[in-house]
Amino acid sequence: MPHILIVEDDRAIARIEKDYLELNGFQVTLAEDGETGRKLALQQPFDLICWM
Amino acid sequence: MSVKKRLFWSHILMFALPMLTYLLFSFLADRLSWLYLLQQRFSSMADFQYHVRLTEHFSRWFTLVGLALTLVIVKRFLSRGVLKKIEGSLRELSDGLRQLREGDLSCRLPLTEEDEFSAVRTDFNATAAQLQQLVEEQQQNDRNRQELLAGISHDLRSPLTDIRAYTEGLLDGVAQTEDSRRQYLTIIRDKTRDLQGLVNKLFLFSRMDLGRNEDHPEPVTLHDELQQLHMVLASEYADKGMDIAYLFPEQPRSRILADPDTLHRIVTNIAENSCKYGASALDIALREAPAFVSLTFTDNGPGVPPDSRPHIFDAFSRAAPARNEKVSGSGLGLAIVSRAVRNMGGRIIAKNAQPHGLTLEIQLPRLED
Repeated sequence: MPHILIVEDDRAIARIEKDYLELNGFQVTLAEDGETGRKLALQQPFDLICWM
Repeated sequence: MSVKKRLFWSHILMFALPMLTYLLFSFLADRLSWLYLLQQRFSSMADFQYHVRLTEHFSRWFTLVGLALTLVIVKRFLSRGVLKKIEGSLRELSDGLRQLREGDLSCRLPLTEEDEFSAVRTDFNATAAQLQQLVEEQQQNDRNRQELLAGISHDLRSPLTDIRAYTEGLLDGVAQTEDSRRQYLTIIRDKTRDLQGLVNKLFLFSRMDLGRNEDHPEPVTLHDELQQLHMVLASEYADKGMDIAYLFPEQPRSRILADPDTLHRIVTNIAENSCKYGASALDIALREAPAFVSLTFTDNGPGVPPDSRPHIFDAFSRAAPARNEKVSGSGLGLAIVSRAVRNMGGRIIAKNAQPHGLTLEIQLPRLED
């Protein structure tokens, strides 16, 4: 399953993006700010990173 | 030198210089006549008399012509001295006016010399300063208005985006369980509520800004109102992680003229603001002076950097470091507070609390007991 990292500070928007993508068969990880996003991206490989 | 002094001196010189020249020329004429007569050989008495008459003629004309020349030169010279002064000052004034007209409002005339034009120059400078201030205020107003518009559009857009996204999510069947459908609807309801709150505040703020005061003031005992408000707010904000304490003096009995709704709004907005910026405690202190009452709100939030402190009562200002998505809200709360306080004839001051936090002090005129 492709794994996507979404960095987005608007929680409501992040949540619905996650729901949409998961419904379409993606695995989604959320990060609320750039620093968290950077750490996550360095820890594990993602197929796509969406930096909002 | 002033025009008056210049005129005075020019009159003196106009009199003195021709006098001197007259003396000088008659002296010279005398000398020349003597030289001339000494060089002649006279054949007879009649011849001698003829030459003497000749030198007398010469002296008269020589002196006259010399005097006339001096008069012309002196007059030219002296009037130029006076005219130059007047023309110079007028040119300075008209240059200044042109600069103003061309938009350089910082133009000022030098006030070093004390003369007939000093008053005009002083007035010119005062007028220019006033004009500059007016234009700067106008520009500041324009900037505020632009920021207001930008702030409004930003604050309306983000909840609208959320509402639309969640509604579409529901329509697309993204929420598959009853539970998540409920969550979606809850988010939509909350965002709609935020929007409504914002629009209400905006409406209130614009009415206040237009100077429409819709307060219905009545004499209220401040302590009673605050106690009630504190009860309501303390439990509401305890859930949000902020403790509100209310401190009051012994036997508080001061009464003020206020609309209870407005009083409510002031306290609520301040509490909302403190909570928004992450304070975990807010102290409300009532103090009574003979002529006024003072209400001090002190929180333990981040406080406001000194350079943005003058702007915290401007609409849509959010302290710069905190201006991000996490701090939601319109930036209208404190703008409404300050206008409401002003409408009540009071004043509000912001300062930083120790070691950190924001202190807002509101002073309201007290009614006689």
